[in-house]
Amino acid sequence: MRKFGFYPQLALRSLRLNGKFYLPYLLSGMVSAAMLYDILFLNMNRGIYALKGVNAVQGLLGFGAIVVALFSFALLCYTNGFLMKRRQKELGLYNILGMEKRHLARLLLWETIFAALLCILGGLLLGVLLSKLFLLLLCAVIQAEVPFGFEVPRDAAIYTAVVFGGIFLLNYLLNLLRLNRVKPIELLHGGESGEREPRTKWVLTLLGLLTMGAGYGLSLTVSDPVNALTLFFLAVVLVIVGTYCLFTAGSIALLKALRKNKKYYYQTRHFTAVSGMLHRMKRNAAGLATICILSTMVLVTVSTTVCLYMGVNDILDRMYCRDVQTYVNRGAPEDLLKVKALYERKAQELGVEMKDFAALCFYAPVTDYANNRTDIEPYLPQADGADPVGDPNDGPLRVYVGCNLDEDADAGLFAASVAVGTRDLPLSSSWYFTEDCRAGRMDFWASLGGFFFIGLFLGALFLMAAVLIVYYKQVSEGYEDARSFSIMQQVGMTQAEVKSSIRSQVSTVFFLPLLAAACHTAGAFPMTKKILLLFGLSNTGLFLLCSGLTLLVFALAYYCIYRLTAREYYRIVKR
Amino acid sequence: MSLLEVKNLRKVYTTRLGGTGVEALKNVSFAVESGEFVAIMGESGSGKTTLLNILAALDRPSGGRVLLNGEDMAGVRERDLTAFRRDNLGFVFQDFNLLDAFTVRDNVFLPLVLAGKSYDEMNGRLLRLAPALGIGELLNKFPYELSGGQKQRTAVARALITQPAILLADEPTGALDSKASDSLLRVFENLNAQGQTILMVTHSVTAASHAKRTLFLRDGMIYHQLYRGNRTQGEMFAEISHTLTVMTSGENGHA
Repeated sequence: MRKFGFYPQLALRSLRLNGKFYLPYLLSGMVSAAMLYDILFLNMNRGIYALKGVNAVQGLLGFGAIVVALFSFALLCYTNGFLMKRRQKELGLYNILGMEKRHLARLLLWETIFAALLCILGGLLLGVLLSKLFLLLLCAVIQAEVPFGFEVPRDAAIYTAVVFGGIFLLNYLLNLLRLNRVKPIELLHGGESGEREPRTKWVLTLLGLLTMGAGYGLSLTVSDPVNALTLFFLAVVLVIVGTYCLFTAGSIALLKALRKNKKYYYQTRHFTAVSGMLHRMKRNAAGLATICILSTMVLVTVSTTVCLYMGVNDILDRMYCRDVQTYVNRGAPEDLLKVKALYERKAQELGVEMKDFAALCFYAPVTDYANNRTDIEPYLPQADGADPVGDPNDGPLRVYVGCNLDEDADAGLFAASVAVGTRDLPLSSSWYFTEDCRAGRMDFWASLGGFFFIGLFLGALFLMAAVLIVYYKQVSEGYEDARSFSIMQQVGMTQAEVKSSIRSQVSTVFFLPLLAAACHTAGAFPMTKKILLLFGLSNTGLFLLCSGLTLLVFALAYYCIYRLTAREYYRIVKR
Repeated sequence: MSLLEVKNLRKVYTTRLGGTGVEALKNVSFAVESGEFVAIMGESGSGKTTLLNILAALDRPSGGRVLLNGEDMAGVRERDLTAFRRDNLGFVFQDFNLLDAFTVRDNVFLPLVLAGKSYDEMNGRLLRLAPALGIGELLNKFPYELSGGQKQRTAVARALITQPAILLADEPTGALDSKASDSLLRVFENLNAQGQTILMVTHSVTAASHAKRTLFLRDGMIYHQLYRGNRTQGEMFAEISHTLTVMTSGENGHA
């Protein structure tokens, strides 16, 4: 018995006793560790270094790893704070039974060690098991061949362990700080003290309205896609600040207004729900706002990346109309003839046959902002030699020459020799380029696939965080409300009324963030739509469809979480 | 007909694994007339709380009957019980059981809101009730801003606002200091003087000495009862103390 030591045993026991709270914490720690390992694994995997177009993906994966690490840190700190608050009574009891604070610190140290070991080792194991699956997924979405073999990059495992070790160490230090600040009697009564009713904070409400309005305003008024990208982050920050302010202050103002309306307030259904929400809004507003922002992040990330991925063929068809193509921007009709002659000469030299040959010059608005490529299909039917097509007011004159090649012909070689050839031509504009569209398509697939993958990956992580926060919120509220509901039953509330009151309260609190998240996503729509233009995607219908579907799927998932946690809540309250 | 009749009440608690049960109430019979103020005294474990729970329809008896206004409470269906309790019985608890999220006003309104009454009616009742309980000034305060005595008077207001046939009080002075206890008991006496029937369970001699009649419960049976008659509260105090002494020494005599 003694061999294992007193504190480690006590620590293990209290982890077991608080299983209801610790299990979700440990599980989410484990899953985030696994996700960090996997994204590092993909980033460092030597097998996919050789893949084409993977450079862009690797950068994305590195960025994703940083997001995962930072996010795990925030999530675990939040959860740890919640856990410590719930355990104040237990620690206070130990304190009164004769454990000094340094003993408590030792207990907490062992608990942290066990939790960290479990999360890191479990997370690595889970990560290694899942790594091949993620590799297969990544290769599928970037349309690359799957490398053989099974790798466990040591660096990925070490980084993961270091990051999570650091997170747990910091949590431990935070716990020590908390422990140092409180007195034993407070520890014992932790969380029971009557709470002051929140005051309406008009300044905060106003600030919230202003920042929120500014964020939405930016999104609605921005016209230039390049500006949209730079302003997007400003808008995100504004909306996040606005959400926090409005959830904390606005909800209190709203609930107080509801309470003033006597006809509404003094009804069985609303009476307990409104006062209950008002009572706890001070603490819970931040939680609700966090859930709302996480939901918005899931919705925006997933819907845009899914849309890009679904629209990739659309984009490719417009960007790469032929296998090899040459653009001369701000060119002149003579350029068309020169380039056309060059194509014919090079085709003869290399012995390749040109198919679907297209040569035209046209006045065109710039739609592909990244590369100045344009869909030429609409102009083709009217194209007639060197006569410009379209309206000069639409934009500058552009020259396009392109052709398809046989399957086995080397498009890269052809494009390269045309590119060299154009340099020797005296063209009227110096802004021209020739490209191998087959390679371009592959690169594009790879980078869009990378976006898609990262979007889903981070979306899953955010969703897990939202689930975790919702769960803890419900459980802690359940414990707080158990007493209120038993009192209400004593003064004449039926079981059915208890249930309907709980339902009204829980569902309001639950679906408010979802509603706000849907609203944010809709508000971000004009801006994200413009950003998608940068990638050459102008299919608004597709984006609308993707956003709608993502919202629907998310709402369904959210509803399932709601049902599960609401059941847990009933169980606690009914006790 | 008595307002409340308790006939041969028995309550046996059996453990989940069967075995021998514990007889909390053996054979309890008594009646409470309308307008009475009855105290039930007994040591811990004498069956006081069990009795009160059965009277409050929170627990079902193993044998015997409880009649309120001549109606057998065993005959009330389970789903009507809550409404029955709300309309006929008012409760005051030892630890007040006020809701922190509500103001004093809303705490008092709670049973009426649950019964679906209109705001005007609730407010009218409250305005008539509040001065008698001395909570007129406190209506907009929250429970955490109140003293123990104020909290208990709020709880009494909540129990009375439904105009119940009987006010049931479980150790109402248990969590109060002597001054607050005294003031609460005076409130009870005044309410009783206006015709409110009160049944109070307590083990405080002081509290019991304010009642018109005191029943002594021991080992699940009514051991004795005292009528106050014309005696002063001080005389009643001495009498009750004496009875308790006899009860305790009698126990020793049997042993």
